[in-house]
Amino acid sequence: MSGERLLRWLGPVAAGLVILLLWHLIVVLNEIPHYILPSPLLVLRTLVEDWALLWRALLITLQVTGIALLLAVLLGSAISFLFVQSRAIEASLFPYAVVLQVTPIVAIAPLIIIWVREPLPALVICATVAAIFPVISSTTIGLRSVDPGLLDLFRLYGASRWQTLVRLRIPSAAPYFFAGLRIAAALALIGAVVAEFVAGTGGTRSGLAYQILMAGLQLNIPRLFAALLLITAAGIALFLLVSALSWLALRKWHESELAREK
Amino acid sequence: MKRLLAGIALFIAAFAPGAHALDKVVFLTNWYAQAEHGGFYQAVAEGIYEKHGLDVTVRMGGPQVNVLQLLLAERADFVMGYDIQVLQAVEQKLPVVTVGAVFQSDPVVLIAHPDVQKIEDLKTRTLLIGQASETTFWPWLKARFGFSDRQKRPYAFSVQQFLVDRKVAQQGYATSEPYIIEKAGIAPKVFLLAEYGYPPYAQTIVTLEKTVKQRPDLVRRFYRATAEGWKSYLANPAPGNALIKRDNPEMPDDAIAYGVATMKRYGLVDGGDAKTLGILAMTDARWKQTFDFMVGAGMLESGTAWRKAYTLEFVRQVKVLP
Repeated sequence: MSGERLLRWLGPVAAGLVILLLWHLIVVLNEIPHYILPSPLLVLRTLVEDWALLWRALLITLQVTGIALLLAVLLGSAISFLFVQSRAIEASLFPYAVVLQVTPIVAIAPLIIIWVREPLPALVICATVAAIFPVISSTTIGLRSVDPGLLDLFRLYGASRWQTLVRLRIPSAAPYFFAGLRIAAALALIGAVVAEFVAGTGGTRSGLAYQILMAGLQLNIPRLFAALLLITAAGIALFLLVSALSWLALRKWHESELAREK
Repeated sequence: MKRLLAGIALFIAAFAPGAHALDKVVFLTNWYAQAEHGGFYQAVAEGIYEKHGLDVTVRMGGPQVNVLQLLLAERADFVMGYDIQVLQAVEQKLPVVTVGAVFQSDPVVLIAHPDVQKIEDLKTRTLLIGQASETTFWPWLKARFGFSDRQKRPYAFSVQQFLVDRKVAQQGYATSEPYIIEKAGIAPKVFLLAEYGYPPYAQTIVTLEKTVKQRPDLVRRFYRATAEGWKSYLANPAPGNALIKRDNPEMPDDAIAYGVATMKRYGLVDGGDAKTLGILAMTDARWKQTFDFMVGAGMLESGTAWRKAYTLEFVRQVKVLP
């Protein structure tokens, strides 16, 4: 058991180190200039040197991501509950949820910027639109995937609609909801970055997209990579956080989070 | 009675235009704050707009910000536009009109490695041309020098490819890319397309038709104060630069200084017709050239009411010589 756990940690770490070493060697041996491809060491050093700047930008991007994810969860779940109330509602509205999903955010962002005057809410709306679909889709499927036997049991005992929802439908939907949340978390982060590119906010209230754009234009490629590294790290942290939430909620009963002894 | 009169006087003073009330104006630029916007920031910093009864907010554009759309949605009173875009808007009967041109010539350049002697020699090179340029200067380059689509590859607004490939030339703006390339250790050959006859003005001031018709005085004051701002900026850019740095803190000082020096070297603001007609000057002849080029390149219907794209009203009324 403990050997297996060790492998689960050591494997990815070792693979990562080998790739970093290769990257470093390729850059150093070929004398690739830092404005084409910086070495991992230089990226790390830039990250430390520009920490104050990048950290502030990251916090703003994370702020947009966090609010957008929260909104996506609240609105997305509410919409799913609405959908499962009747097949007619779902049939009428679900296609539009799909429309929301497949519309490039770049195309509708200008409209959002015209209607919403403050930059922060505009960015949040863009990121929410990007993140909401997986929540709606998974939660709706979850709310529908109730064991028919259990549903009959609830009916047999005369459970109210409310009791069925809280005691049966929501617990059955939870695993699906958390699966959707993992995707939504990543999309909210990407949405927040893309929205900032589109909305063109700058100055002191600017997030990582602005830093990436400016670093690219000025050929400060090490800083660009450092900013990318921060976004990636934030994405992984977000994923771990959501996974932890999922584990906390499901560990007691659901197959996907149960530790099985072999 | 006396108190009533005093009250009425106060009331009139509070609502009468002029003396105390400043007209609120939002000006939207086409990019993050940079030297090319210096005159506007200078006019804010030096209180020139205020002197002309205007309370101006300069807002920054960005990579995907559609300034004409925001102008039409009345989210800005004036925006920084471009002749080709405005002519195409007029073709679609959108009520926008250019009132003045900050840049007497478009700062768009082709940048080549040092071994290239003439712009004509670029016929045999690979050219990195951005997607947006397909509808601006690329058709002009094809017609003027016989360049072909076969030698064109997309430009992603990074000079990295240019730096690694000696056979590549690329588009750019006189005020920015050449400097970045110089800093990376190559002294590039730079060809300003305007010097070969590329006709449009750039960094123009565009507003709505109804603003020109209903509030010509406001437009006139904005025009004059902006022209004075540019004159002041070219003389001493420090106050404007401080505001540029506030809005765009990642803009390095040396890049701003290079932008100012380039504007002076090519006379972008104070050259051409600006020398005699004043800063922000435009002429019918130049607009006709741009229109003719666009029609010839199939970018515009020949029946377009091109004269609606601009007005010389303010060029004639206000003359701020450089």
